[in-house]
This record gives sequence, C-alpha cells and structure tokens, in this order.
Amino acid sequence: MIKYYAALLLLLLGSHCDAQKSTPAEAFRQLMADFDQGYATLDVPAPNFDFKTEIQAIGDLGHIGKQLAFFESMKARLAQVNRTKLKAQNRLHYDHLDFEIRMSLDRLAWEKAWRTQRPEPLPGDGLSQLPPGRYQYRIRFHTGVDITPEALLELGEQEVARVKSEIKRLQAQLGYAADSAGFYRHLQSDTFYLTDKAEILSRYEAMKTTVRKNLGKLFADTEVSDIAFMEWPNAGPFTPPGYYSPVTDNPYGTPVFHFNFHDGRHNRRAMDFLFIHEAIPGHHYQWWLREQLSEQPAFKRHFYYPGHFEGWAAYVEYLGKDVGLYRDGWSELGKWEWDLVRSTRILIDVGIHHFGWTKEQAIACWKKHISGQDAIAEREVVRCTNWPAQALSYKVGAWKIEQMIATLKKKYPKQFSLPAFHRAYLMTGQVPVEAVERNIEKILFGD
Amino acid sequence: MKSPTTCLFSILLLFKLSAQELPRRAFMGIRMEPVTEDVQRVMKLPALKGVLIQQVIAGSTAEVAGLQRGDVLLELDGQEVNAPDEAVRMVGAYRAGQSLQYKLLRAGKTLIQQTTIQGLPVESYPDLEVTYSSVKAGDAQLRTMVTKPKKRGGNLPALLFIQGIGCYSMDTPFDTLRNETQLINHIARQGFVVMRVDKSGLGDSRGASCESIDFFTELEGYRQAYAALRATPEVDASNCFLFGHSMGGLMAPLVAKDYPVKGIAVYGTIGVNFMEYFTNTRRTIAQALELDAAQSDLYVKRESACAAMLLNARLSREEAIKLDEVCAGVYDILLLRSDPYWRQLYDLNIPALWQAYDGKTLAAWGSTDYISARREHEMIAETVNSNHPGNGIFVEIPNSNHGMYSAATFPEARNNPGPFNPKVAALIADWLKKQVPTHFAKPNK
Repeated sequence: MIKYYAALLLLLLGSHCDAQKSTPAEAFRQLMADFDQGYATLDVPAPNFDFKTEIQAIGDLGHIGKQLAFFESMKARLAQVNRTKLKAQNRLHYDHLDFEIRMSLDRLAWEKAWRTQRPEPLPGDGLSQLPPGRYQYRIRFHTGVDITPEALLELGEQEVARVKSEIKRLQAQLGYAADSAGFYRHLQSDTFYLTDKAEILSRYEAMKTTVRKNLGKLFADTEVSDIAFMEWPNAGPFTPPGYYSPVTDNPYGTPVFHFNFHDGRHNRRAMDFLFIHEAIPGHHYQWWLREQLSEQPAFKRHFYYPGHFEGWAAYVEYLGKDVGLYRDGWSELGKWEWDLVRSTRILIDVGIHHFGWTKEQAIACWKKHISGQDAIAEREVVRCTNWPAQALSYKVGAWKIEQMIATLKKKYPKQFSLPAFHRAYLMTGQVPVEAVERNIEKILFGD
Repeated sequence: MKSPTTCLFSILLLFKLSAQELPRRAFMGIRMEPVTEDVQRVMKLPALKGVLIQQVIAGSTAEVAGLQRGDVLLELDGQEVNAPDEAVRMVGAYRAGQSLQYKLLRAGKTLIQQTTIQGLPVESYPDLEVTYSSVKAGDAQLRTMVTKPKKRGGNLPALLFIQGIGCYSMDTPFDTLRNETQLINHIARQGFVVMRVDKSGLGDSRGASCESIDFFTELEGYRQAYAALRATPEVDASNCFLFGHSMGGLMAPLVAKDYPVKGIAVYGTIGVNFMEYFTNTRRTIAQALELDAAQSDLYVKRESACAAMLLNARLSREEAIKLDEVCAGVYDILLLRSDPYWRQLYDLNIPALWQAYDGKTLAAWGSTDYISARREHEMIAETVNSNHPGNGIFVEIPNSNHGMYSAATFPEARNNPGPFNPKVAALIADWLKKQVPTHFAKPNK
C-alpha cells in the first residue's frame, strides 16, 4: 500500500514538475484544450433570446455546482498564466477565455440564488422585476462588452440625436426642409415599394457588381465568394427585412441573402443598407473571411458573440457611399430610418429591464422618436421585453468599432490603414468585442 | 407435445399480444421546404417538383437511408411529393419496420432507393420508466404510455391523465417540457403510476380522425385506458385516480360512473351546462382580449347567440351562418371537433355527474385561466359535498393560466405566458398523496 501511495505521489509531483517546466505558450495551449473538453461535458444550456425560456432551462443546484467548480478551476488556472508572456494571438484567446469565465461565474452566482429562492411565477414584464444581475449578464452576452445600463442609456440618447440629425439633413437635401408632414407622408407612399420580384433581383445583382468593384477602397480582401438572392419563404408582416444564410447552414449549395417580399412588396429605400448588412461587406463577407482563418483553438466552437458579428454588419452600413451605394438620398435615408429603430430600441431595452418602465412608458418612447410607425410600437415593446439586450448588439458593436478606429487613427495617424483594420477585426473570429478592443492595437502594430 | 389447454392458452396469449401490438409511427426526421421558383433558380433544378431537404435528424429514417441536406425528394413509394405537408401526410401513414421506396435528386442525378422505416424514439429519463402499450376502444386501437418511477416497485397508486379537447398527440418525445408532460412526470416522481392515452387517429393510435369522432367515442378510449391501468400488475387497483384537464374534467366523472375511482382532480374545467359555461367564459375571454365594456357585451352576445343556434336550435353551421354571417368567425373554435361531439356535450347534465360521484374531488382553477370559470370549480366542490360531505375541495392556484403556464393577468395569460407553473403539479401531487396515506407513510426508524 505504501508503494502505491509513493507511486501516486511521484506521479502527481512529476506531472506538476512537467507543468512547471512547460513554456507559457504550451501551458496555455493545454489550458485551452482542457477548457474545451471540460466545457463540452457541462451541458450548459444555450443562450436563448427569450429570457423566460432561458431561465426555465436553468439546471438544478447539482448542475449549477458542477459548472461553478469547472469555471472556478479554470479561473485559477488562467490566473497562473502570465498573459504578458504570450504572443498577440494567444493574448486574444486569453482575454476571450477570461471574459467567458467571468461572465459564466456571474451568471451561475445569479442562477444559484434563483434556484435557491425562486419567486413564482416568473415575472413577464422584464428583468427589472428579477433579482439584479440577470440583465447585466444578458448585456455582456449580447454585446460582448461589460457596459452599465446607465452608459447604454447615454449611448442610446446620443445615437437617437445623431440619427435624427442625419435624417433632418436628408429631409432638407430631398426638398422637404420646411415640410416635415409632407416628408413623412411621402415616405408612406407606394412609390417606394417594388412589386416585381425580377426587378428586385436585378437591383440586388447590380448592387453586388458595384460593391465588388469598390470593395478594394476599404477592404484588403476583395475576392469574396458569390452570393445568391432569394425571397424569404413564408415571411410575414413582422418578419425582419432580410437575413443571411451561409452555405453551411442552408440546403441551396450556395450562400443566400433572403429578402422580405411579404404581400408582394419590398421597400426600395431599405435595399442598399440591407445588401450591405446581410451580404457584402456585412455578414456574407464576414463569414467568407472567417472561413479563411487558420486553425482556431477548439474551445471557440462553443461560443458566439452577437456584438461582434451584428456590430460589424451595423458598422459597415456607415460605409455605403464608399462601396458605391446610397447614390440617392432616399437609399441613404433607408439606412438612417432603420438606425433610428435600432437606437430607440436601446432606450426601450434599458428602460424596461433596468429602469422598470411600464409598457405604456416604453410605447411612449417609441412614438416620441419614430414617426409614422405607431402601429408596430406594441410589437417592438413586446420584442424588447421578451428578448432583453438582444437589440443592443448592433449599435454597441458598431459603436465600439468606431471607437477603436478613432483611437488608433489618433495614435497612429500615419500608419493606420482602414483595410488593415477591417481585416484584423474580422480575423479575430468569434470573440467578445471587449477582447478585440484590448488586443487590436498589438495585432495591428505589434508589441 | 403440448396439451390442448396449453395450445389454447398460447393462442389466446398470441391474440392478446397482437391486440396490444401497436407499432411506432414513422420517424422520417427531415425538415423540408417547397421547391419554389427561387429554389429552382438558385439550385438550377430541372423542374418545380419535389421538396427540398433542409435538415436530417439523427437516428431518423432519413439518416439511416442516407438522405442529405440539399437533396430534393421527388417520390415516396411511387407517389409524387410536391409539398412538405404532403410528405408529412404520406409518411404519417407508415409504421416502424415497413419498407419505403424513395426517389430523389442529388447534385443533378436521380436516385431511387429503398429503406426501412424507423419508429419515433420513446421518452427517456434517468429516474422514470415509460412503457408503451395500447388499448382497444370500439374500432380504434389507442396508444397508452405509462410513466412510473424506476426505483419503486410493488403496489403503487395510479392516475389516468385525461387531456383537454385539442386534437394533438400526447406522445411527443422531443418535447418533454410541455405542460402535460411536466405534470405527469412530477406526479410519477412522487411514486404514482401515471397513464396517458392518445386519442383516435393521433400519434400511434389507429382509428377515425380525432376531429371526426364524437364525445362518447372519445370517452370510451379513457374508459378502456382506465380499465387497463387498474389491471396493470404493479398498480394498486383500489387506489386509482383520474386527472382531467379542461374538457378532460368532464370525461373524468363519466369514467367514474362505471369504474371504482378513488379520487378525481380537475383543472380548468366545466362545472355547469355547456351553454352557461360558454357564456360565462366569453366574458373573461373578452377581458383577455382587452375589449372595452361595450365591445365585451357585444362579443358575449354574439358568441353565445351563434353557439346556441348550433347547439340548441341544432342548425347546421351553414344554416346558422346564413342567418347571421358573423357566426362564421365564432364557429372557428367549434371547428375543433365534430358537430355530434358538441351536441353530446351540450346535452350532458354535468352537475348530475358530480352529484353521483362518491369519491374525493379536487377542483383546481388557475387565477388567470380565462377559458374556464372560478365559480364553476367552486360549484363542483359544493355539488360533490352536497351528497358526500367533506369529499370535495376547491383550490385557486395563483398566476396560472388555462394551460397551467405562469401568468399574472388575463391579457398576459393570452399574449405572453411564462413557463409551466410548478405549483399546479405540486398541488395536485400533494392532494393525491394525501388520499393514499398508507402508501406514503414514513417507515418507522
């Protein structure tokens, strides 16, 4: 028996000594591999847009305890790694893991408390009625940034003001400077709706040609693969205007941009920004470039970050003119109209889930900022109520990208290149925006 | 050589087994979309034919057959398939073990192949055992599912779960978080054997379509299921219960007319004649719809008048709509079931059933159940007590809607309910346990 314990001790000491002998990069590689394998056994419920469904899927205390033990042990091991000794790419992975571990531990602390003393029934009017912490978790997951609700409110107000001033500028440019009522009346007219599908397809094909021709102005990689256009099958009146479906997720054998043709109508004003957001240089371009990435650590397969990919697609909408679109004021207006919806959703989201707004307050906020869309106010409020923080991912992600560019431009006025930045951002893959923000400078300009 | 008695026994056993045998319905396991002009253009398909396979599910017939995403399914056993609904309907007729020939288009090439139908998986839990059997009811063979705790053996109390009016299967192995399944599993975990039975034409059950059968034909299924439950070896036949959800709450006292039933628990049911129930609940439905006072009055009047034409005056739907075309909209809900079903229901004297029932009764109502009426549940308990004092009890469960989901108000119950309210399961299980104290007595230390 003594021999057995001696052998075990030797084995443990031996393996510990081996770990100490390994380089920081090797130890970190092992940590990433262990994280991947350990996480795969945890059966962590996937994040769900609907907060009630997500909370309902929380496991029992045993399941929560198992997850806590795993993340605590990973936190301790990560603390042993000297981040500064890692190369730029590994530092990005380090920050990614760090974000995920911290967020998971906070999530689990909340879930443990919830499981122990859960109020019945689950309130239906948003997260402000639940113990604090859940909304912050949702903000971190959906945006990839640990930003406070107060800061979000400020961002929302600032963006609403910015977008409104852009709309005002276009209103004047389009000849309606002194006639707001006439302007908004005109926006409701049928002239903006295309009813011939062949014409819609031909317009999108023309946009593809134009954008491809201009892509090199702002993007280093221009040989993006082809994309097809299709009507969104079974789209309803409240279906979003479009979505992107990569070839890996669809049965068509080619990447597809689906557009909403409900009731045989498609809004001409929305076409340019939709193409940019869903196709090139938005989601399709992003997907295509990500496919070119060299081998990534296996742990990344478990995670996705809406702030990263939706933030990108929302950010590139600002580049419409550079890629040859927004050639008339109406097309650019379509972009800002949708941006106003996204900006107002920030206010409603934070209002409901942090400041405890009533449904009526949220509807009033919508009506105050969005003209001519009263009919969908209630639907928008229900969406924000049921899907806390989901609507934040677009604007927060785009805002962070703009911030990174501004900071780097200021610090490296001569060396900064937008195409190089775009490539570097997209080549980070699926990571929290916060991790990109922390590492992008070193990735671009080295240590 | 076997004796004639042994032979006869074997034949009888064989007959009994074959009567019980009900194969699983087909698990085709594909998500499909129609081949539209867009699909044809993008995929460069030769014709607007077939259905496009979006996804193949693991363990399914499609996976075993080697079907792939992007295949276009053209024919099943020589019959053209041109819409997802059509494919679902066609596959619905197959049972596990049958052979199926299919024709498909893959990467421009046509393939014709044969496969064996795989049955739908069964419900599986670490702590519960679910066994699948069947009962014969009239011309139908109905699927029964019995859930019981794995670690408990012997003589257990039992419950037949009787579902509501809808024509949907209770056998959904991919969705075990639905309200009914959560309730059943909770009660089973407390130490009960719980049976559910699928209606005629639903799930694996064979027989006329659920939509076409009448009230008493459906009732016969529950009667046979209850008899089978009592005859189950590990069941204590003297401690068998019924639970009736919604319309199931009417079926329960009818089953109890012919069999010994220790107790009945009902939730969200009807306690008075159908017309009175219908009128009572149109008022609460109007509240859930957030109609104002004038609109509510009109709504209650219109709905009740249209229902009366169909049920009391026995007009056909067409005749009633001719008299008042507004009834067309009202009858949408009544289209759930056949005219004979509604008329038999209309003719029932529901309080008389409860008056006659001599067992224990729990009438539970969720405080945001706008589909049933609180007062009628109180009346059920009062009626039971009028003949058998102390047997009936009424309980209101806060914040539960008709489907036993969490909701704080009628509009929320309709528009945005939360998850299954575990208080419903806890209340019913606790009540059941109290009725069989000897089964749950703590062992002496």
